Amino acid sequence: MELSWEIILMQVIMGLALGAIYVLLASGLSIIFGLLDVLNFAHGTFYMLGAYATFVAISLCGNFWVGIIAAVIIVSLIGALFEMTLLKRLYGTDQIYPLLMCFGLSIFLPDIIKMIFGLVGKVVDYPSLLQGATFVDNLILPKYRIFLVVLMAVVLLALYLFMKKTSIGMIIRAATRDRLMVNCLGINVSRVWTVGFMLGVGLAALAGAVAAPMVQTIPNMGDEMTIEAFVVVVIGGLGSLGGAALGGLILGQVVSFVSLLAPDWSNVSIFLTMALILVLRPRGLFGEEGRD
Amino acid sequence: MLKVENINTYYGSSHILHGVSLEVHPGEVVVLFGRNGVGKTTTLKSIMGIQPPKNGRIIYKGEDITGRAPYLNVRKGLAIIPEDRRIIPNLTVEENLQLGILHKKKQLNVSEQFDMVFDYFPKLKLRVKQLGGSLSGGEQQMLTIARGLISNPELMMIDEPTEGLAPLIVEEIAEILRRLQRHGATILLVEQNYDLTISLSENLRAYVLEKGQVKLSGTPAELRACQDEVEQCLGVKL
Amino acid sequence: MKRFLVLTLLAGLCAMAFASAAPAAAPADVGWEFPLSGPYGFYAEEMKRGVEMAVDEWNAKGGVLGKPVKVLIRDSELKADVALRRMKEFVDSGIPIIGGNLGGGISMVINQWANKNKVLYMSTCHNSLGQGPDWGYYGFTTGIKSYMTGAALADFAFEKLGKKWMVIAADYRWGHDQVAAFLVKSKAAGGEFVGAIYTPIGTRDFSAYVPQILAKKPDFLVLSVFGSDLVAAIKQFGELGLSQRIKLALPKTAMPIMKECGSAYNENVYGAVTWYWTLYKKYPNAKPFVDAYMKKFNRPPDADTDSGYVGAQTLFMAMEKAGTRTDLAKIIPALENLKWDLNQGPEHFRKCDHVRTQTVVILQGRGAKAKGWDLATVIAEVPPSKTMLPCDVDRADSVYGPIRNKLPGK
Repeated sequence: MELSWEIILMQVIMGLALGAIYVLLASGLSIIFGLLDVLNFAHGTFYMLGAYATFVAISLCGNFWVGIIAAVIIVSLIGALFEMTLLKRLYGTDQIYPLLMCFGLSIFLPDIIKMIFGLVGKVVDYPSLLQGATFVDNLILPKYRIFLVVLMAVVLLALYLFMKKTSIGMIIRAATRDRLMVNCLGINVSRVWTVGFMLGVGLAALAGAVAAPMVQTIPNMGDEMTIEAFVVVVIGGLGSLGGAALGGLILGQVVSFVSLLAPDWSNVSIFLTMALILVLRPRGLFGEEGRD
Repeated sequence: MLKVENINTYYGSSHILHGVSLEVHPGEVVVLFGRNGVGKTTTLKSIMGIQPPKNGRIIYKGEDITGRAPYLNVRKGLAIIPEDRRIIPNLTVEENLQLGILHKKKQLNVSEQFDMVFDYFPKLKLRVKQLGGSLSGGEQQMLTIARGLISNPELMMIDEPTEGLAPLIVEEIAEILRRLQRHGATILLVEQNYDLTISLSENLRAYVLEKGQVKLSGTPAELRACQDEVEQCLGVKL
Repeated sequence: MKRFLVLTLLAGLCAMAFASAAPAAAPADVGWEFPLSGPYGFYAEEMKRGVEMAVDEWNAKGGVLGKPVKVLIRDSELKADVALRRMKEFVDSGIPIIGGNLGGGISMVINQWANKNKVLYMSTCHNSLGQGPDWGYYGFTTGIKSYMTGAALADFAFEKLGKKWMVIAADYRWGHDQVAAFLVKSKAAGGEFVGAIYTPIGTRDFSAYVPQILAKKPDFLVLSVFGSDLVAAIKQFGELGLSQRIKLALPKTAMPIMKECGSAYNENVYGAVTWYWTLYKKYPNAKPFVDAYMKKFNRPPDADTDSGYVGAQTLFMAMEKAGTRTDLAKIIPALENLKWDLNQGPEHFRKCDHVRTQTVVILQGRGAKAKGWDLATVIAEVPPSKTMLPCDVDRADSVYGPIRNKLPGK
């Protein structure tokens, strides 16, 4: 096939949009892992909840944007509740216990959603403002995809500023490295944990909310997302936010171009990319060595 | 000010502190001596609430604080300056210090407190924007002390501040400790360097620990009177 | 001593288990299994409901041979090993007839096992049981041969949608079957094939394929994927304006797919099903079935409900005709000679391969005009005479096989 510049450019844009979902999802996972040392196996479940919460909110108020914001808030609160009532009890035990708790949640919640919403998935429509695409010759500029890229950039910038410029961001960065010392400086780390968990889960919910128009919104939609988010985080380096962002963008491009050139490899390609990066750089792109 | 009554502390199933008791009065420097592994650091951690004792009591300013979370103890005026320094490596010097004063931001004038610690540690002022992890060992130790000091704690627990440092830096740290002491700080110090510690002030008291118990205690003069026993406890010739 | 006690106890339990496996009264007349949990839970549930409706119908009029019929329904989790284990459990407990399943591969495994063990198996899904060497005397299909929907849709598409076509196919047997069907029909109809993309199951993003599809400008795009993949593809093609410019041909669609796509399932989307509920207007015998279902579940049944329903119905009819609920030597010939007229006019199982003579229904999407569950319009019905190949051709797999084994772009 002849690779015209339009195709390549479009492929890049699609890849960026695809990467945007990865970035949102993985940065949340990375924050949770970095701060709480919890491998959140329910991350995809919160992604799913984000999509369903968007559906519910849109059915109630009819506005996509309100729906997304409501979804992020609702799911963050669910996350906070989960963290405060169940997860918190398991800190300081072996890492496997919080992992299993999250895993349990990832089985339990989809079934609850199935009971409430039934087996037929729900429809979340694209906002009318962002429907369709602008065509320039053979070049399609899909509005929603471009919105995703912009959203990702805004969220990353906001996250960066939050982490760098606010006290709570500073505490999160510090607690990611040494939670005991932070505690010994008069800071109630457990409250920071809740905030960090909410933030991570909120990002997953945002990813689910904006993905909802593009994919089948069903109770099990998050199952593979957990694994893929972990792949992104591993590529970027465990616990590194910048790594999660870069990892997500790389994967987006990989999947986009593999889909063009060797489509039957598209699903495997993300794992191959991970393997390749781990061989070249075992701690991931931005991972620091010797993090405890 | 601080009264530790007969505490027993365990790490898992290993019994580290066997009924340690000690006291610290306001304005005093109290030193814990002892060989490696006798429980000096554990004593500090027990007081702080990092490794709460299984039994016994810790009374601070008339209040039973046994087993209370570290952050609450800090808010009551305790500070710990740990032996492994525990600078947050991915935060700048300035941020490390901010972290130390965050819980007292409302009570204290932050910029005054910064000036105060920079007065103690002028070197740090040159490094404010540098990452904590990029500092030298001596600078990290200074930052650790500064971070503890910045919130005006009422009782500072300092764990082996000179460990692994070059002699010149050791002397610098010692000078800081003297200065702190002159300004009336109350300090509970763990230190291996007996001579240096004794030189800090004549007005200090020391406890000598052995196998998780207080073996001897007293002023430098009193300890000199039973130098043999001290030497036996510490395993060094003084 | 303690260990000895435990061992004795275990030995005792084993002995009991064996004892209970000895023929006693069978717990049911037919054992069904569907992947109720897992990604195809909806379709499995529909099949299950179809079976249950047939049971209720028969029992309301006195049962089979004067005794109520009883079925057992288990979850096969969409896993071949689980599916096989469940079937063995049925047979071990004395049930001579099994049925169900969703997924050609799993059906195939069960069919082989059933034939080896001389157990009657009524398959309910799209599969290839009647093709190649896998056919066996004990297997029946109330679903359809996979290639039939593709062949029917291809006939329709080359006549109505255009000649230039491209395909996105799920990279497994079912997806390949559809590509083969379109390639064969394309040759006959003078179609122009411009490319194939094979995607792994579980592909969520189809936007990356859009640029190359637009560049090739086909009249229609065959979208031979199913489930979540299909919903994602249709939604994204709608979003990117592709389905406004190019028609989509779906060799297999279903009501939840149409529902979940919302307005993206527009007039340019053409899909094949084995049955659609509005057909009751044409086939009055289907009306009681649709009405009873609507009353119970507050929405119309889907094609898979029909498969389960007809599967159970035909088994009960054959038992009644053969005068036995267990003797396969009589029930199988009865099934072979059975003629029925339920939801889709007169039908039967072809004697030479035991596959239901299934008509394929072509549906056109309604997009924003869809109301409730009135999601699509029936625009064509392709009779089995146009899609089913003769049994010997199927057995030799000589039409689609060679093409399927050498697909372009693979």
